[in-house]
Amino acid sequence: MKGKINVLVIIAIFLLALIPCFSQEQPGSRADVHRNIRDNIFTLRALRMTQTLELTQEQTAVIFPVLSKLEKEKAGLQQELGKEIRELRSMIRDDKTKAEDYEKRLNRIKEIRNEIRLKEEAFEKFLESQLTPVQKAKYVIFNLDFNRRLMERMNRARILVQKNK
Amino acid sequence: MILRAQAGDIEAFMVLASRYQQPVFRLAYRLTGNREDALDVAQETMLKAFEAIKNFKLKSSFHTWVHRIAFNLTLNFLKKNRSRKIHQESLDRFRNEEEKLENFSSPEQSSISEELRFNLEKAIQELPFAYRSAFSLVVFQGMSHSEAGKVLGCSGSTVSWRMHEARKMLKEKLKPFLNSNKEVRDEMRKI
Amino acid sequence: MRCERYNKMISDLLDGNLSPGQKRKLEKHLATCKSCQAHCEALSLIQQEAKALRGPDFLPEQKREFERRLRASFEQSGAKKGKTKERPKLFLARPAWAAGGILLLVVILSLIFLWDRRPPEMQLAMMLSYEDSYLSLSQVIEEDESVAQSFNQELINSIDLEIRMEEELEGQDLQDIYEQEEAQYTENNLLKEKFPLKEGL
Repeated sequence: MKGKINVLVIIAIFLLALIPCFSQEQPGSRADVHRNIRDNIFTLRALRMTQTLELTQEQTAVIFPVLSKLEKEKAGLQQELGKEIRELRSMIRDDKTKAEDYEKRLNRIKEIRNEIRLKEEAFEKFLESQLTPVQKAKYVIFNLDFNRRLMERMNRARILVQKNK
Repeated sequence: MILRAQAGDIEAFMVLASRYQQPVFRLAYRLTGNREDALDVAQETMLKAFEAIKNFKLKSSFHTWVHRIAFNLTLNFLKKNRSRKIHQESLDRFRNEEEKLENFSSPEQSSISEELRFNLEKAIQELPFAYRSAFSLVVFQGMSHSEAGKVLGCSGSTVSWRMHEARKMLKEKLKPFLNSNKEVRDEMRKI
Repeated sequence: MRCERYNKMISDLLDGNLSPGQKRKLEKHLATCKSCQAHCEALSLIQQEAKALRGPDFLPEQKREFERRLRASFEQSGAKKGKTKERPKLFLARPAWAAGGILLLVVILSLIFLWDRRPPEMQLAMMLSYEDSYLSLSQVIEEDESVAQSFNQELINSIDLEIRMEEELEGQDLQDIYEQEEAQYTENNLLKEKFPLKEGL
């Protein structure tokens, strides 16, 4: 519909199921901070993607429900993957770890990474069907830029913390 | 499956029909309030869909398309029949069925929730048709506002406003039950 | 923005129809407005209970009867069952066409299997995966809680900036848009039960 501003045009139909109310955040919980980071990265990525690709209202209405659903699934997998990698680090530090334990853990890590990769592939295939050729090209550049900026941002935060110590 | 149905394959269409007969029946039931009428509408929907499937464009959503047929047929039906024996059957059904309320650990809470649900069912049936349609498609059929808009023949924004108005009306009608539910839940938290 | 506007946003949120910017605005408001918080709780409860109202199911005999009547209607309307008999006749009657068709099919299938359908640009996007970047990031965040919090704050600032930039670009307040929508809505008499008849499609 013409005449709607971009803020309304960006109808991110987030099917973040069962998130009714927002209570005050419980400060200090580690899991909460990590979950918030993931959510905020997702929000920022969605906002930037909409602007960079110049998605229409119809496109956002179709793309974002799928994006949200996949994001929920991937967030769960990433959490699990993080846990496995933490365990792997402590296994490496521990001299008594057996070879088969390493194998088992590495296989599990591979499995989870594969699952994440499949979900990303599924999303990109779906996105392919929704974007114009120009938008597809913009998406590649957007992805590169966004990932690079994410790492730059993280380095800045690290430097800032070291300065304050 | 859709391609085969478009080619005239009855078996392929029967597979599609079996997938959609339940959601279409439930939508028709929500709008007519009557099981027999809903059955008639559901059957007519499938017949109409079969006749019109050659015109279905694959890039659209079959789910939305079938629901649009169901909605239009329900409208026609209601206009012809002006059926107002709407609400009693759904309420009787609710009263008679033994609802399993798994999440409730106390008799107080289970009976209050039952009361809330009974009155919610009643309040939904009493919504004006425009709001009841939007509410049924979005909440019961799980459609987005834009999908529901395609079924109803209006914009996603219109559906958004109808949902807002519908919820205001429901909240108003259910005030006493929402308050008592909240009190019990607050009490439960203290235990 | 008046609470009535936020109440509508709560309704949109329950349906997953809120943009990231609007969601952030709503979150901020709910943190400070008890009345809207209560409204949100009430609507959430209604939503939860409504979703639990499954609605009627077909009884088994009704389902069988429904399918029987449907099938009978289809057959009466002269629909074809399964594959038509005409196709094989046409096929056999024109062997040259058949041979040409098979050859074309072989060529197409080989092109499909020998050539990755995914355009190269999308493959590149896949290689530099967002999830891989996130994984590296999360490993750093794990090590230092203060880095995590600082990083999160930066993200929040960026999101707020994005939203402000959008609003400035358009040069119009959300308030105006909601007021316009509401005026149009009232004008269209959505409160009255009047719908044009739509026969079939």
